Amino acid sequence: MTQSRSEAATDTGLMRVPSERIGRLMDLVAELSLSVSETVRSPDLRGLELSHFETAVHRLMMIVHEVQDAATDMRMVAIDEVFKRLRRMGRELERQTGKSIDIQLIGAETQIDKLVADRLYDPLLHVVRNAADHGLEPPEERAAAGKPERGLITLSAAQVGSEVRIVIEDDGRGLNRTRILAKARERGFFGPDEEPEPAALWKVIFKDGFSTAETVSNLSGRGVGMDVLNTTMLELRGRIVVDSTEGKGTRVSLHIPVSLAFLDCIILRLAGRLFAAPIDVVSEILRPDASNLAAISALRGAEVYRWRDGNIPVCRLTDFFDGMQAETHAETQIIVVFQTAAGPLAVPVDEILDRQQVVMKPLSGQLTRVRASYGCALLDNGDVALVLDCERLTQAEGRT
Amino acid sequence: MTSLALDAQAQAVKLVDDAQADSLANMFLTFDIGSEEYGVAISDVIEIVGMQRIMPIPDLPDFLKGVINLRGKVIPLMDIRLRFDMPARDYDDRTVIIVMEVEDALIGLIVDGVREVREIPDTHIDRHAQLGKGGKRQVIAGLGRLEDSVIILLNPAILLSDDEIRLMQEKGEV
Repeated sequence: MTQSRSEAATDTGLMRVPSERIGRLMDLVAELSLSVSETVRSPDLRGLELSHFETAVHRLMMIVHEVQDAATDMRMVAIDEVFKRLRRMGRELERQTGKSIDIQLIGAETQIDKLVADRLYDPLLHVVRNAADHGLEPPEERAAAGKPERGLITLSAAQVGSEVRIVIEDDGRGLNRTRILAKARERGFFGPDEEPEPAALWKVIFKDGFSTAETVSNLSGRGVGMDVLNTTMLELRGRIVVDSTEGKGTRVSLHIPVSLAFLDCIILRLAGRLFAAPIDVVSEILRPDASNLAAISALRGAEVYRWRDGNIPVCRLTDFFDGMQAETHAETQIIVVFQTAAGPLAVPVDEILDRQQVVMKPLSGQLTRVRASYGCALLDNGDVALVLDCERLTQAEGRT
Repeated sequence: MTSLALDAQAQAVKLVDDAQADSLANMFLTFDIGSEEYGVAISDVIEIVGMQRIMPIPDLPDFLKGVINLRGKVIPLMDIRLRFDMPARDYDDRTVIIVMEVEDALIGLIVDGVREVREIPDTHIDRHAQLGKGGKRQVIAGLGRLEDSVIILLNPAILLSDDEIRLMQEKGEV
């Protein structure tokens, strides 16, 4: 009795719960939601007039949805902890680089899935180190350029739709186009006369083993760091956007889904296979006018689709993936336009089935062979659909 | 047909349960592929389920037939016949899926039917039999000798490894 009173006295309203326990709850909620759908859609009920049942089912489904949301919420934490750890690294970075650095935090209260937060520290640290090491100039150089002697790195986070955007911005010297372009050409990323758009060029600094630092410092390492960033972002289904102005600074934005467990998708059917596409990347769904589709023989039959004011590339999943045969003709198909980093991409499908919150299962074991996919989506009728990673649809040449 | 499949499954589950009562060492779950009897270590086996609706997934080799959703787990299926270049056979009510955990990932093996759980002492396993060309790690972990039969013991990690599969495909092409 006395014990419970003392507990009440120290009650802060917070509870420590091991993350595995929440993970277990999430798994159960996912299973619950699947079995409710299975029960409700049971073939035994077919053809029966069940008005009371229907009402009860409707209520049950609403509750399941709310339980799902509540469980997802439980795993949300403020990004604050990761940011503060990074800020503490600031002093260490000053010592190692001999530069004066301030680290400013904005939007640290932004909520993010604990599983995502736990994996962000390493990749963010690499971006911050890179900014401290290569971005910020030594104090004398900054003074000469009319900047305050102390360099500034700003870490900010904000939720935009179902994404959290984390921005790491420095006020340093910016990326050097000439040097990066030379190096990128040397590595064969661009042709000798190609003049890539800045956004496309900056991306190469994240490629495997790419580093233009003339002297390899112990801070940024030998281009290994950026690879940690790439790998983690791929696993978290995130995107990286780099922007830089010479003399003014560099800005790296990481766009990461708020939660890894559930994903708002549209479900597509093509050649008897089910696919899911994250709703955020879908720009438009339209029934194509055949005259807007053209095949270009000079590009080995590659197709383009006239959309809004331009022609956009068409990716046929039946060509991209191995082991798929096209069944229907283009005339009856629907085109889904995806927004990717490389611009819009038209993907023809046979049918759009549904829009739903799917449970995502990462690809493991033998399934890692599948290209351009984040994982498998469990649909509420128990079917499995492949979740498309539209970024990788644009990158690959398709089957080899 | 469904009840038969369930029977086969129930029987198989019972086999595994019986085996778990004893020590798992040297216990093998044996199954039929054509007229041959194959075996896998029972410790790698998670469960045995009847055939269910397979959902095809692109980008996989022919012998990976697709995936099943087993109570919320997505499990890829390998048709052992196709994996060993044997003629395909329609699935029937004896066909079962042996769900195994291999290198931290789940895989379901589609086999003609499960037979029993057998204890094969080490002294009755020929591990270094010169099967095919030596030197490399082989998909066959050994041959189990029992009075009435020979059981081909599989090495699941090699069964799933890319090197082995590539080699097999190259041979097929020659």
